[in-house]
Amino acid sequence: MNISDEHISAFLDAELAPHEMAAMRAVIAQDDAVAERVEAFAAVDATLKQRYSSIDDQPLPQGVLNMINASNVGQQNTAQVIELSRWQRTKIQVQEHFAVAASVALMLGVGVGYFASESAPDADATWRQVAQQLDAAPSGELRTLADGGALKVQLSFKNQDGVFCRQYYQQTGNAAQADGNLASENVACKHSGQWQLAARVPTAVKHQAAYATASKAGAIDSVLDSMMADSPLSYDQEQGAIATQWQGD
Amino acid sequence: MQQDLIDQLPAVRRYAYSLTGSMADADDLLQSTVERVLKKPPPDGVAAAAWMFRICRNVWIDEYRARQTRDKHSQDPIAQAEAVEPESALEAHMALTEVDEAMNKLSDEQRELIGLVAVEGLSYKEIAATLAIPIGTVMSRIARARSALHTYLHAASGNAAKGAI
Repeated sequence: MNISDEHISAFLDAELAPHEMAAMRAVIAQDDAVAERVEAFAAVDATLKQRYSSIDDQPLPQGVLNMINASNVGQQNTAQVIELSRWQRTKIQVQEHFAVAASVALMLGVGVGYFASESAPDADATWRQVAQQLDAAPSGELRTLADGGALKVQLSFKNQDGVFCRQYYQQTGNAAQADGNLASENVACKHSGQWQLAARVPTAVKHQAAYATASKAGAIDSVLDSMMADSPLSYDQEQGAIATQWQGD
Repeated sequence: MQQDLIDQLPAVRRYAYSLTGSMADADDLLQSTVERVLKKPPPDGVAAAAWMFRICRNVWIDEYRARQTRDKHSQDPIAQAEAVEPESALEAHMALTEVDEAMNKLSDEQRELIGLVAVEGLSYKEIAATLAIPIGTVMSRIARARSALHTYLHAASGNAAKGAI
């Protein structure tokens, strides 16, 4: 029987469909030429594996390990996010013609405690209202906060750790927001039953028309890209998460 | 992230060895790979392993292939004399050299694939993503690489047998 090298090779790598794998086994049992070719290819692999695995017997070069340990590779990722955000902001300015705040404050992984310690006295009260909205408000609905501010959840998703997070736009009624900005794009995640701020990008107060724009805001895109494990939750999934109080994996 | 990189080092090092054919060059290539990965960490959604294999292959293409080409043209008798192994290691050395020679005869495109599949056991899909080539191409190149290596190794062992008689 004439079986191509490609077929034999793919068989060895278990890359054929199940029925083709079974058919190949039947052929090997009957056809010596094919069986020999399979053996020959397997022997090549064994030779290579033996040859190139032998380097495992030598200790890893200490210089390389030191280089990794001395690096701040995790932090570099964060720096990239900030750079991207600046670029994104430029893009927004060009495309949407609204001014964006001068600085981007990204506090990835920093909880609300950090904000509370530096913020105006009533920030805790504001945060409680925000947390209530994050618990209950469906994406896309503009909600008014007790301080006269407003909040609109844009989308919900699970992060890489299986924790639920929500991206939302917030504007304050009385400049009570921690960094003194009037409006911000934010991401908060619910860890152990508590909403915690994961990222905040100050932005300009949006006009009513801007509320209606796409669910994903430009300035915070790169943060979302780095956090989201998968697509945003659908309406039904989000309703399910609201019902179960955003309990993640 | 640091731990991710460290966890992948042995696999990337074996791959570097399959590309260069020399342990010393493999460790040099590993170092250059890690330097580049630290400057340019894996983008979101790209596994550390796939990213490191890809960078390793790119560095090899950029730097080591160029150097190897130069080395082939240099005939340095001192370097050649130094390369002689002690007699006890001679047999192993012979066999190892056959593998190296066979690998050196492969095209770059075949060589950069074969280590990933035969040594690291990556799936065709993973290799296709790592090297940014279609799965069909992965499949045909691996088959050609195995066929070629079988021919070269078989010929080498045939010659060795004749020499022994």
